Amino acid sequence: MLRSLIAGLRALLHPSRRNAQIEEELTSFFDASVEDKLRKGLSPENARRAARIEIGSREMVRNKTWSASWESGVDSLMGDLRLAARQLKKSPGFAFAAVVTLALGIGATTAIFSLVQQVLMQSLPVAKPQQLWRIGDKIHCCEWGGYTQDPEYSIFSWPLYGYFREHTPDFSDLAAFQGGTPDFGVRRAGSSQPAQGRISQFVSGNFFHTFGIGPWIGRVLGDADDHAGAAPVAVMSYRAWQQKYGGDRSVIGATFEMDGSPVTVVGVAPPGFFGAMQSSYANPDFWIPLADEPVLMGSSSLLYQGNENWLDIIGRVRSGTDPGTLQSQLKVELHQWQLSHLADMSAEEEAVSAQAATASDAGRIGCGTTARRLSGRSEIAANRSGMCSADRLRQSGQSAAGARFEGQAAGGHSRGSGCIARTAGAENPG
Amino acid sequence: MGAENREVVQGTLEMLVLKTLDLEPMHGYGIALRIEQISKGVFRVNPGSLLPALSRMDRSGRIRGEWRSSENNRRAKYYALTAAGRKALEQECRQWGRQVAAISRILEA
Repeated sequence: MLRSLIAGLRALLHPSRRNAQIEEELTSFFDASVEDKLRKGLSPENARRAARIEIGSREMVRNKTWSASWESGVDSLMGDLRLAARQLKKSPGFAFAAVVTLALGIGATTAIFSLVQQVLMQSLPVAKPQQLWRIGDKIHCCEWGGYTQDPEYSIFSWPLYGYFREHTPDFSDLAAFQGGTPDFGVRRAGSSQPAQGRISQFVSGNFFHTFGIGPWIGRVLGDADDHAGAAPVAVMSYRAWQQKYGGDRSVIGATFEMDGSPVTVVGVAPPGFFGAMQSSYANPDFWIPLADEPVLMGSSSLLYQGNENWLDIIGRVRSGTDPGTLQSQLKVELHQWQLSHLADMSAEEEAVSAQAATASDAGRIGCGTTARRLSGRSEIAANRSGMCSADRLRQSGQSAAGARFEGQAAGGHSRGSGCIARTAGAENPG
Repeated sequence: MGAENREVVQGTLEMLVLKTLDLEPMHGYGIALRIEQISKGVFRVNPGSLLPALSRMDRSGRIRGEWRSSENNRRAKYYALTAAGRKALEQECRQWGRQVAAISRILEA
């Protein structure tokens, strides 16, 4: 094998030498043949003639010997290429058009594939993504004021999140995270460097636990960090740690100033975990507990406002839970919650709520798409095996972060939409 | 050449060459001559098939060619069997034996 390869390459590099060798062997064959015939008593002239007849066309023999080797294939390919190059050179206009067409075609295909691969096909680096569901199906990034949402509730206030979390035992974990990803001016405390803009996101204390994500170093956030009065902490993304802080382990335990407020970094998330959404430019550098929001945001804090909806909710559903039942329950819970806030509502909101109370199909408020979701069972089932639901989470998150892929997200939504949208990787049940 | 087919049976040329070289190293013409003689003229090997076969077998390491001077001081490429060639010969002989036996059984049935 190796021998054949080496000999072949040598022959390709020195075709004339190879030809000479074949020629030499042919000559020696011819001479031996003539000699043999002389011995048998033929005259020299006849002997040579007989030998020539015996050998036939020398050109043909040479050709056949050459063709028996693998490098002859390469050689003829090179010949074809040379011919093609010559032909293209004759008509440069055509050649240019052909090359540009091919380049654009290949480039566009590659670009689209990269996008699809990144957005749709890569499975989420989270544990058991098939158990993760998002509440709400629309992109209401990043804030929505009031007690009703059109066409359905898809972004939530912190009090409403708390209400869901308290009343829905079918979720083993229910995490909330900010729909948007604000920039904070961040610098290490005591550093003389000017503050750098860093993308951060307020998340519930059980955010990492819900996704089944442990720390790379240090620790991740916990419920204990998410209480009013708890010391402000943050978890850094692996990417930010590597790219912006040089993988320096001393960031763990270090205090950073975020818009002037001191926050202690307690850990680094593992590589590949980009958060609850993936985007090309707005992946969070820091995750901060929701309880720290009033500290960092000051007077513009949204945390305690029941009519300020700014949180996406993703939950891990206990195994054996029927999504339909869960959905109906959430619908009831939402309505209960709305009823308990009638006093705060505008007249219009009140009317809508009242209307919803009597309508069998929850209509414009609450989980307006519940019915669609239920009848859409087969679609969901189809999604399980396909890839289209693989990134519901990311898709919705991505769109939530600025509706950048709205058209695409809409495509995905139309397939598997519902009050609770399945959020993640059917293709990766482990 | 006449109507009679004097080509070696298809697919057997390599085996015949290996067998011929099993006796002693030989150059191309010697191989052709030996096959013709031993087969009592039934088979005749022309250089158009012999030289490509030799080149192929040299490549695959079953034989090794070497330029030497022949009996009467002419240069010729002598081919000798390698260990791999010997093994291949054994294997091909066995297979050939099986095939011939099978064919005879079919023809005599």
